[in-house]
Amino acid sequence: MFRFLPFPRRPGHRIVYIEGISLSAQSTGYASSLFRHYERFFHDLGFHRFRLKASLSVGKYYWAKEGFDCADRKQFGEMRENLQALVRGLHLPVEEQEIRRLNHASTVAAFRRDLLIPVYRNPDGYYATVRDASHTEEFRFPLGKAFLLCSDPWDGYKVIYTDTPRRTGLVWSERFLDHETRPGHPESPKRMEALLAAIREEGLRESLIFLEPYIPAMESLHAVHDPAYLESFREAASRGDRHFAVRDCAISEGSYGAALLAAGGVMAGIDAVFSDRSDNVFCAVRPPGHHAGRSSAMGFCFVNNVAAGARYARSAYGVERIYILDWDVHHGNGTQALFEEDPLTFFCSLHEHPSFCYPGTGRRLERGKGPGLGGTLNVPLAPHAGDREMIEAFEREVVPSIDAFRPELILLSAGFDAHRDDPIAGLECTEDAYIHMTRRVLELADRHCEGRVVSVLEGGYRTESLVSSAIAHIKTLQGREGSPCSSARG
Amino acid sequence: MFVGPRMKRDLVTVTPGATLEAAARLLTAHRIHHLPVVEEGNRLVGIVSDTDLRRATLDGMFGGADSGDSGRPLRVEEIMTRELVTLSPGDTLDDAMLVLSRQRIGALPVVEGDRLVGIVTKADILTALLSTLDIEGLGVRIEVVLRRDVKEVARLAAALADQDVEVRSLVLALHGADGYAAFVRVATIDVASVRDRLRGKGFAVGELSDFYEGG
Repeated sequence: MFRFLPFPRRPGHRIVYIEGISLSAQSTGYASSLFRHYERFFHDLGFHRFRLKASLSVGKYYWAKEGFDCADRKQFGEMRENLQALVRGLHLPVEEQEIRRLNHASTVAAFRRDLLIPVYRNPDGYYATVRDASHTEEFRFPLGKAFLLCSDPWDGYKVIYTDTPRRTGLVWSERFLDHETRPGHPESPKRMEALLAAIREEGLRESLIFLEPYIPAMESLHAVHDPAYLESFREAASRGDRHFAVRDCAISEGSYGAALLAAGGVMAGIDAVFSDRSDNVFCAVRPPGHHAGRSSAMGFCFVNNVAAGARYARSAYGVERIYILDWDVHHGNGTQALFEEDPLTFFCSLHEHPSFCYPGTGRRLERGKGPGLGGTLNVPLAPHAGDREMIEAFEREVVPSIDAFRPELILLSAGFDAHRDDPIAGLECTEDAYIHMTRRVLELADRHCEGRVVSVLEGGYRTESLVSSAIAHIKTLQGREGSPCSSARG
Repeated sequence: MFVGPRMKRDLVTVTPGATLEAAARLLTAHRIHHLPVVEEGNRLVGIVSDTDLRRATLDGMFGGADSGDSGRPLRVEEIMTRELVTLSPGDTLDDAMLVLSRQRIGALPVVEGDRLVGIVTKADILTALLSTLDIEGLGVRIEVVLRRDVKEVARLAAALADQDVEVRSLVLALHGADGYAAFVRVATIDVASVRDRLRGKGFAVGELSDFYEGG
C-alpha cells in the first residue's frame, strides 16, 4: 500500500506541475497532497470552497477516485450508457439496475471490483477495450477501472469545501413533487418546495454535495414490502385513484414513482456514506415512510424509506448493526413492525404519547419480539412536552442505548412535527432540540461508526417550522451549528 | 356480550388429591394465578389460587394453623376454596365485571350444571375492554363534551360522517350533571383538522387540561 506523503510546504523545496503529471507518475500521491494543501491554504485565506475544473484526457480513473465528476449530468448519462454498452458487448453478469444506481464518477471507478475484464495498452500508455494494431499489451482490470481507463476524455470538476467540518450530502429530486395530494392536505409538495428554496437562500447549495436518488431494484423493496401490496399501490396511482388504502394517503398519478424514488434516495445516501463521498447525508424525500408496514399504507406513508435503506445497507454493504432513531412526533409503527424481531436493527422512537397522538402505538412496553426483544425502545412524551423534556429523555435513554448497541450505521427518521408551531400534534419543541439531538448523534456516530449518519425526512407540516428546523438540522450535520455540548441542559 | 364467547376454554386444572407442590408447579409453568379443582367428569369442586398456596406455605413455616401430622405433604383439597362464585356461559360480561370488582376475586369458573367449561379472569375482562375501545388499534382519541341530549350525539355523528373520517370506536359516558362525554377514536393522522372542524361546528372538544383534574 502506498501512503500519501504530506505535501512539502517549505518554499523552493519541490515544485509540482499538475499538468505535468504523466501516467507513470500517477500514483505518487502529489495531486492528492496538493488538494489537501490547497484546502488548508484557501481555508486560511478565508475562502469557503474552491472548484477545480479540468479537461480529463489521461488519468481518468485516478481523477474519478480523487472525487472528480462529470461537469454536466448529460455527460454522466452518456458515461452510464457507454458502460451499459460495454457490459452488453462482453455479456457480463451485471444487472442494468446496478448501472442505473451509479451517480458519480467515483462510484463508476469502484464499480464491480470482482469482475476482471481484459484491456489493451498501446506504447503511449493509452488503454482500449479491444485489441488493435497498436493496443496490444493485455491487462486484466476490474470493470469500473477498466471502463474509465478506456473512456473518452471528459470535462471534470471537483469542489473542495473548506468551511464545513463535515461533508454533508443532500438527496433531492424534482420528482418528489410528482406526488400530489388533494387541496388542504398537510403533506403537500409545497413543503418540499419551501425547503429547497430555503436551502438555496441560505447558500447551502454550494456546500452540500448533491446526490441523485434512483429508482431502486424491486427486489430490494421486496425485502420490506409485499410485492402484491406495491403492485396494488402502482395500480391505484396509474388508475387515477385519489387515495390509496386510507383517506389520509392521498395520491396522484406520480405518487408511485415518487415513493419508489424516495426509498432509492435513502439508498443513494447510504451509497454516499459507504463510498466516502460524504460523511453524512440528509435525504429531503417525500412521501414520508415510517408508518408504512409490509402491506399497509397509512399516515401519509406508502413505502418505508428508512426500512428499505436499512435492508439495502445490509445487503449491499454487509452492515450488520443498524440503529434507527425516529424523532418524528408520531410513533414510527411501520418501521417498528418491520424490525421488531430483528436483533441487529435497533429501533428507537421519541414521540408524543400514544394515548394522545396518532397512530396510538409506541408504548414503553413495546420492546421488540422473539430474538429482537430489547431491540426496540419507545420513549413516549406527554403532550406539551418541549425541548427540556425531549432533550432529557434523549440523554437519559437514547444516548446510552446507542452506546450499548454500538451501531455500524445510524439512520434517522427525521420528522420536524414535534415543533411547537406544527399543528398536527401536541409537542412543543424548537430548533434547539433538533440541533442538540443532531450534534449528539454525530458524536455517537463518530465514536461507533466513523460518523456515518443518513437522515431521512419524515413529517413536518407547518412550512415555516419545517424549514427552519430542517435547515438547522442540515447545518448541524455539516458541523456548523451551535457550540460544543455533551450533556443535557438543565 | 356474553361470558361464553369471551371465556378461556383450554383449562389447566388440578385434582383434589394433588400436592401443593404439584399445584404450585402448574401455576408457575402456565404463568396463571388460579387452578380450578375438578373430579372425574370435569366436576368442579373448588378453586385454588396462588394466594391460597402462599398462605398455606406461610402457615406451615410459622405454625399459624394446625397442619396435622407434620411432614405429610398438604393436598389441594385441604386448602382450596369450596364456596364458589361461578358463572354460566349465558351470563353477561357485566355480571362478571361486577362480581370480580365487588367480591375482590381474580377469577370466576364458568360451569354448565356442575361441569367446568371455562374460566373468566380479570385479565380476560381487561382484554375485552381493550378490544371494545380499540385501544391497541391504530388511531387517536378525541374527547367531545355534549349537552345530554341524544340529538347532540346524532349531530356529532353527522359531523364526523361529513369529514369522511374513519371512526374506530365511540364511547358515550355521563359527564357532569347534564352532559355527555363522547370518546371518539378516529383513524387519521390529521386529527388536528378533525378537532378544528368539530370546533367550527360548535362542539366542545376537550383540551388535555380538562382531564388533569379529578379521577
